[in-house]
Amino acid sequence: MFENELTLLETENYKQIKELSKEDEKLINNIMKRMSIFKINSYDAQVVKRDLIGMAQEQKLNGSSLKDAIGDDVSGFTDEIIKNSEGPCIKEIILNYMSSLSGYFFIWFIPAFLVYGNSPYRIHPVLLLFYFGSATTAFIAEGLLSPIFCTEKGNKKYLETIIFILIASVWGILYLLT
Amino acid sequence: MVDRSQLMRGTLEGCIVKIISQEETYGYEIVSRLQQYGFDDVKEGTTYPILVRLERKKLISSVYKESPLGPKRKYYFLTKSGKDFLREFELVWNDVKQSVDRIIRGA
Repeated sequence: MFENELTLLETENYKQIKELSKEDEKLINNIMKRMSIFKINSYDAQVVKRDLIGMAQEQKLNGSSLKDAIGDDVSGFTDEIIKNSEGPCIKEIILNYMSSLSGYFFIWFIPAFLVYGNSPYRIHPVLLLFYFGSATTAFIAEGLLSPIFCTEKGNKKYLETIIFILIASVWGILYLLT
Repeated sequence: MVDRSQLMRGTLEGCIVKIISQEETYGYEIVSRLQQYGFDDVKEGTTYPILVRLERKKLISSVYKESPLGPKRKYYFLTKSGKDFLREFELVWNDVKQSVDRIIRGA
């Protein structure tokens, strides 16, 4: 298997985070969700994750938690890190989008191919439009919506799900109408 | 009411660089040192984004080292640009401090 610095860092972080308390693990995962690939590149995000794990371990040794170290304004803390980072990597965003498209290809086309027994877009060309539409919607929702609401408290954190359901419903209605 | 955090914002960067200039040090220790000097409400949540910024500006650099107590620690040290920045910060701070002092004393 090929391993680069990023995958090594991801593997190490995956192992280390499991040794933290559930509360710290959840907090780090929420911070990472807010660091979308639209705002910070994956390598920088993993470096931040390693630092946060180190911070949590240090706090644990001193009988405290990561939440005590960061304070209540988790969103502000994360945004400040994003602001001071190198920013996103366009190539990475494109590759992720292509990966999302290929994932959706299997969801949309393989079942349709099995049902129709032919290339489905020839039978129903609108399928192609919905294929790109749903893949793009999911990609944007995951990359832009999720990071906004993941560190929110109370009912605000459910807004992401509500908005996603609304967008999916619009696509569903459009599909039924065509 | 005076917004202490707003007032601190600009000076904290220079203070952190000064602490790092004294010896190679890590995040938790930087916070402890700042608290000893009277920055009671400073947490790692305040200093970490500043350390990220200083590292991006290449004023400081870091290295992971084994810790006798457990996990590896990220130690920060000053770069050549960091030393220049510190000299400049000390000059500017003294100027600002004197000006503010003169205004407060009404001289």
